[in-house]
Amino acid sequence: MHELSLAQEAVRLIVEDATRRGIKQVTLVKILVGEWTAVLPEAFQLAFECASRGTLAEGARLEIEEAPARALCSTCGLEFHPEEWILLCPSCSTPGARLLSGREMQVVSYEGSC
Amino acid sequence: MPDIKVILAQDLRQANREYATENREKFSCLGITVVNLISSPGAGKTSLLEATLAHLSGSMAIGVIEGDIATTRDAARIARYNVPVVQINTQGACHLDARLISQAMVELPLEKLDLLFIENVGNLVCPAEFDLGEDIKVCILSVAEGSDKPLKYPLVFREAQVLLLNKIDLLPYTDFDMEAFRQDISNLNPELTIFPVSARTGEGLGEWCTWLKQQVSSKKRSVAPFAATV
Repeated sequence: MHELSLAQEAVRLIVEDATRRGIKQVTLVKILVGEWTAVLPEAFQLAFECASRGTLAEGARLEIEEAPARALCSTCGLEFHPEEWILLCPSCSTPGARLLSGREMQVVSYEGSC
Repeated sequence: MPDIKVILAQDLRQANREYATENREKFSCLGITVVNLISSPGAGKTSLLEATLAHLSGSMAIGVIEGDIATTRDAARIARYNVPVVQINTQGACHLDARLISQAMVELPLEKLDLLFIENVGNLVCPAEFDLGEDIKVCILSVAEGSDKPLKYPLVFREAQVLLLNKIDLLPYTDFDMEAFRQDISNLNPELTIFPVSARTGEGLGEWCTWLKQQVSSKKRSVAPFAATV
């Protein structure tokens, strides 16, 4: 739901780094978004187009990779894909497993030309 | 034109985290307890805040930062309680972030405050993602919203330390399932402290305010040795 502020931050990070390296045009941006971040790829795409307008990231192709949610049960040690936030272990039924991934929001990399 | 690939691996919440850390250090230095109030629109954030201000009036110095998409209506309501208040209008953004707080806090007489309330934008989803530098996240849920909300909007219920279950005077008129609600909360966040309250009748406010006073005095104590050496 807050894709615009995240996209603005992505553009800020990329433009800052690209300017420092003398890159004139960013052509590709790779973003990693966790399954449990309430970030919609379609909305992020649109937000990125808006946020990058007039910057050297304008027109860059956006690739969004989704990181699936993974949890580790503290009782039996099973690593599993949790269905709900109560993080219930499917093997021993203990709630509150440790979330290993699924909350990522990251600019992984970008490509550009000088 | 050579092509360059740059690995950034930077978190999109990093800038917010840095502002939040700065805010937290500043608040801690001054011994101010900071409470971030989060709920959906209409759960009773402002009414509960008004009732809390009335309850705590005279016992400590309180400031308020009001976050809304538009209007200064809430700030006007709060100002009636003779507390310093700053209104942030996010102009459409669905949550407050730590940078907005760092800009707003300088408008308050911070060195005089014991307790600062930040009333977030009415939204049960996004505000949970953004650390503002607060000590305590308080989630407010009204019984009229239904007992299934913790599982449907889990992040805020996991992040919060306190849940104010508001409008309990309406319980007889709703299908709110208290048992299922408590079970879901204990699965999601067993540490969560729940205060059933009614801003309208005042029920439960005493317990909530007593708890708040304890938080304020323990934060004060934690900075006292430092203050004495300055």
